Order: sequence, then C-alpha cells, then structure tokens
Amino acid sequence: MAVSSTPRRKHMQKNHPPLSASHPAAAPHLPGGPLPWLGRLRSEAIASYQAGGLPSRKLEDWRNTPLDHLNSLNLTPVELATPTVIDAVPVWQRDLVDGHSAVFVNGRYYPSLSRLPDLPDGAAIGSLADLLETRPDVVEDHIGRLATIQGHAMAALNTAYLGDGLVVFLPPGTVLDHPLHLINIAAPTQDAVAIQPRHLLILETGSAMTLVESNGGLGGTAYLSNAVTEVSLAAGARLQHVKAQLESPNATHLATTAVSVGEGAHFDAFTLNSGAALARQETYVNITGRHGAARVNGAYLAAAGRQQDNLTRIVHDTTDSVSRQNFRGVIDARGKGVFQGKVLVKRHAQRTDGHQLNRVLLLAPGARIDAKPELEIYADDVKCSHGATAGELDDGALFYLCARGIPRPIARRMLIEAFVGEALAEIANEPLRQSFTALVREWLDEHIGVPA
Amino acid sequence: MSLLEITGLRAAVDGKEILTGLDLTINPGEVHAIMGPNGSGKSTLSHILAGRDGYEVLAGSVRYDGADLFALGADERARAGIFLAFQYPVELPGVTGMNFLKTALNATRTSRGESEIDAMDFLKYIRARAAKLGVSDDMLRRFVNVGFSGGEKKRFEILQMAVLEPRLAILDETDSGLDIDALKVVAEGVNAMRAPDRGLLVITHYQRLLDYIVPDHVHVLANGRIAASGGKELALELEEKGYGRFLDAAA
Repeated sequence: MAVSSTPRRKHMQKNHPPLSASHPAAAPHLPGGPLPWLGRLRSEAIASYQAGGLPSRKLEDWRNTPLDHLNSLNLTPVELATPTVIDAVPVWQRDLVDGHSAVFVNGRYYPSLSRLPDLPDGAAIGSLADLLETRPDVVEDHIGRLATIQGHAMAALNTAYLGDGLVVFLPPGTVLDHPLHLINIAAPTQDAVAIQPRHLLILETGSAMTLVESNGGLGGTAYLSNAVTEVSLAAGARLQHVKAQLESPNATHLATTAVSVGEGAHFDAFTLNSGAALARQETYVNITGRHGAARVNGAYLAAAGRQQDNLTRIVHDTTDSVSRQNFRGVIDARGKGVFQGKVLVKRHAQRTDGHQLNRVLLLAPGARIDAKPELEIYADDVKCSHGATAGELDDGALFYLCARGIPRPIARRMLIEAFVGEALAEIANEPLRQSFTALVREWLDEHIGVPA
Repeated sequence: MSLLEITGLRAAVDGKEILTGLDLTINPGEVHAIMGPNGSGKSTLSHILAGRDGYEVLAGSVRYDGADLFALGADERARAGIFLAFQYPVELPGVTGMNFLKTALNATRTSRGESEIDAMDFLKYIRARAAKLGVSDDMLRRFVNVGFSGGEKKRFEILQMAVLEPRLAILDETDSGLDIDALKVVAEGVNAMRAPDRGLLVITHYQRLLDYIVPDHVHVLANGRIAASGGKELALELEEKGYGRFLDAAA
C-alpha cells in the first residue's frame, strides 16, 4: 500500500486537468447568473471532470486518440479571454446553404450576423444564454437529459462551462421549410482558448427541420472546441442534421451528439470531418420508440499529420427500429483515421434492422486507420450487419481510366472523389449534397492536387 | 509506314515467359484477328500493347506509328490513338458514364492542343454514337459498368471506342459473355469503325465473332508466338480442326 500510494500522490499533484483550475474564475462570467440548479449542475460536472481528468488512452474508447497536447496548450476558458469582434461570416460557411442562420463566435451567440426565421407561436430558436435569462425553466427541463456526464469527461467539461449555444424548440406539428444554419466560428485571440458550445434541439410530435452546421476557424491559433448537442425527437419528429467540420489546422474539435429517437421519428445525420489537427465526433443515438429510425453517415478526410475520429453508439431499445451507418474515410500519408462504431440491440428489440459500413481509402504508405466495428445483439429476431474495409486505390480501375487517355493523377483524383461521393450520396437534400461535394473537392484540390 | 510493328517480342509475367518471340505487322485499314487457345498469350499481348503494369519485356520491339511504344505510358498510348476494349470491363462506382467519357475525350483533345468540348456539343456527340449501340441516357447516367449486364458492358466498351476514335483498336475477347443478339450489335458497332486510316486487332478464342467482323488476316497464337498466318479461311479451319496441330508443332 505504502509503495503504491507515493507515485499516485505525486501524479495527483502534478496533474491538474486543463480548464479545471480556471473554472472558479470563469464561472461568474458564464450566462445564467445565479440560477441554483445551474450552479449545482456545473459543480457536479467540474467535479466529475476533475476526478478523472482528460480521457486517457487507457480507456478503450480513447485508445487511439491522444489528448496530451491539450495539457501543454495552456488553454484559457473563452470567458476569460479578450472578446473577439468579426464583421462577416467566412465565405465557405456563408455559401454552404440558403436559409436562416444562427451565428456563434467563440461559442457566444452573435446576433448582428445571425438571421433567425419568423416562427409560429410556441416555437423558439435562439441562444441558450438568452433562454437562461428568459425561460430558465425550459432549459432546466431539457438540458443534460441525454448527454451523460458519468464516464464522459469531455461532456462533463462542456457541462461545467455550459452557457451558450443554439436552442431549438419546435412544438407539435411545426415544420420548418428552410434549413437552419448553425454557424460556429472560432476567432483568434491572444490565448489558446477553449470553447464549449452547448446545443439543444427539442422537436415535439410530428415536427421537422433541417439543421446545417458548419464549424470553422479564423487564423492559425490553436484552440479547443468541445461541443455537446442534445437532440430529443418525439413521435414522428424528423431531424436532418448535416455538419461540416473544417476547423483551423491547429484546432482540436471534439463533439458529442446525444439523440433520443421516439416512435416513428427519424434522425438523419451526415458529418464531413476534414478540418482541425484532431477531430472527434461521438454520436450516441437511443431509439426508444417503435419504427424509429437513425441514419448516421459521414465522410472523413485526414490530411498529413491530422487525425479524424468517429465514434457511434446506436442503441435499439424497442421493437421494429432501423439504423443505417455509411462512413467513408480518405487517409493521406501520415494521416490517421479512427472508426469505432457500435450497434447495440437490446433483448426486447425484436425485428431490429441495423447496418453499419465503414470503408477507408489509404492513399499512401504511413496512412493509418484503426477501425472497430461492433454488433452487440441480445434479441433473436434481427437483421443486422457490419462491414469494414481498408485499402489502396484499385489498380485495375486506375489502369482502366489511363487506358482511356486519362493521365494518372487525374484518374487517381477521379477515383478518390468517386469513393467519397458514395458517402455524400447519403445527403438526400440535393443543394446540400452539392455544397458538401464542393467542400470535398476543395479538400482534394489542396491535398491531392488539382487536375491540370 | 506500318501502324503497328511487333518484332521478336518476348515478355514475362512473374518470371514466366508468356510471349516467346512474337512478330506481327498491322497496316492502316487492315483488320487482323489473333486466335489461340487459353494460355497462349492473347491477353498478355493486349495488356502489353495497352501499357498495363506487371509485364516484363525481355526482348524485341514494338513500334507504333514508327515510334517506340514502350516509351509511352498507358495514358499516353491511349491519347496517341491506341484503344483496348477490355475483356473484363472494370466497374467504377461513383463515376458516371457521362463523366468518364467526357474526361477521356477531353484528355485526348487537350493533349492535341484542342479546347475542351462544349457541354452541349458533347451531349450531341455522345448521343449520336450511343443511339447506334443501343446505349440509353439512363445507362450513361449510371456508374460505369456497375450493375451492367455482359452485353451492356461490351456495348459500352464499343461506345468508348466510337467516342475516342482510335487509330488502332484492340478488341480483347469482346465476344466473351455475349449472346448472339448482343454479339451482332457489338459487331455492327465495330464494323462501323472500319476505316482506311484505322487498324483493328481482334483477339478471340472462337471463330464465331469473325462471322460478323470479317478479318483481312488471321493469325494463330500458340505458346507465345504466331504459329500460322492466313486469310479468313484459316479461322474456319481452326473451328473445324481445333488448335491441336499448332500446339503439337510448337512443343
């Protein structure tokens, strides 16, 4: 006992997890003021985070994802950093979709650049910070119900700093005809800041909308964006959530999305991850209502020295539910991809129909993918499958294109684009699919080369 | 000048010599057929001419239009006018037929210093050729060869040839996997390409195709070299008597 206690104490002294020491100083600056329930929620969260610190690679879910760099970054909570002023939304974000927008700069709602839709009575779209002032009871009813703190250090850290983000509340039968664009912009400050966006979407019975989310950064300063999004879909509700993550090259982007899918409800997500030095998208979907459906798809493009992570957990917790996952990864030399996908079918979840596919293209020696597809099935009447492939470009296909006069670099580019295109095809909305295809092309132009 | 002149070609795959001293000359306007049993080197010859990796040339030379063919990469050969119709056309998921044809055509045009073809002109250009081969707009919108029947794949190969207008077309077992109706459509497409400045090399195992694409010269390939040459009547003789005597003679 005595032998082991010494190193442990030493370790504890050395290791204040980032953003924990600064929490008491930042807390008074967080929106929501003196709400007692909010104070308790944050205290509980910071305590939970401090107890374990940043997720260690000893944890199975983090085995391939080192966060050590966050220890040495000397991260400052954005609440304690100099506020940033910007006068325009970056062009790529502005042009991603026609529709209404909610702009957040360094995690704070930015009304001067936002354009929110007119809404029917009872519906609400706005900032969490505002809602904490006007209707804290609504926030209290819904926040933290779906994103678990226990065992999820980054969700705990986000909750400790919970203060602003997008809130959408659609009462029964409300259908938004146009997409809403959630624009997250990280703007440079002198310090390496930590941004903790917290988004909440409550779609009541039969309501529907499309949320387009874009994440980008200005300038090359390192920063951490650690977002949590909670989505509650009541019976028959439909959410299409299409996300583009193109953070700055030195950014760390961690995102947790927790979704509850009710009876006959549809959650349809697509995530393009191509930015940041390290990006990780965790998607937790719990299908609790019969005939609920979840489509969780994505494309991830890892350039040299970058890492793109995807973690999915789809829980079928009822009968007759459906899930589909289709992921495509492109990894360049010294790039790294991680895919950890799990479909869990509970004992009573008969007639579950769940499929998962992760296909990866390794462009050069030194490209790396760690893939762990999992099916965990306790019901006996199910249709489930999973598949994972990783490989180089097909020589036969390359030769076929060259044999038609197409120079090899163009042939190569065509095949890579076609490969990613098969994931982009999952975006049902045509203009959105084109916008995302354009983003993929820009990435290919930069990292694979433009055809002459 | 000959269009293609193969002299003493010896070539190996994985250290095994497949072509053992092959000579063949094709002049513009001529249609040559190479017939031979399985394993005689037919596909090796077509792949070597098209520039596929994985073949080692041990000796001999191939001159195309008077220049050393081996100095060119596969894509350069194609742009110089060599076309291989594949025995097994490759599926290209995510690449539509239209995009494929347009990229290929423009690669050849730009290499000649011509401008890229205008979108409307391209549609007209493709549709005129596609209609003759029974290739529908729907097929052109689909991904290349994905879910195509055997006949559709071969018709799409011939469409590519019609679009690229090569000077030397090599048809590698184009009859394999075709029923008689599909064979006729494909053969008509090939015959329409016969021209005074164009050479055709038809590689086949069976004489059947040569009923529809009538060759000027027929060669028997056995054990990696031309064992006999003659007119179209040689094909009929082979159909009747088989390849046995050429294999025996070479052994």
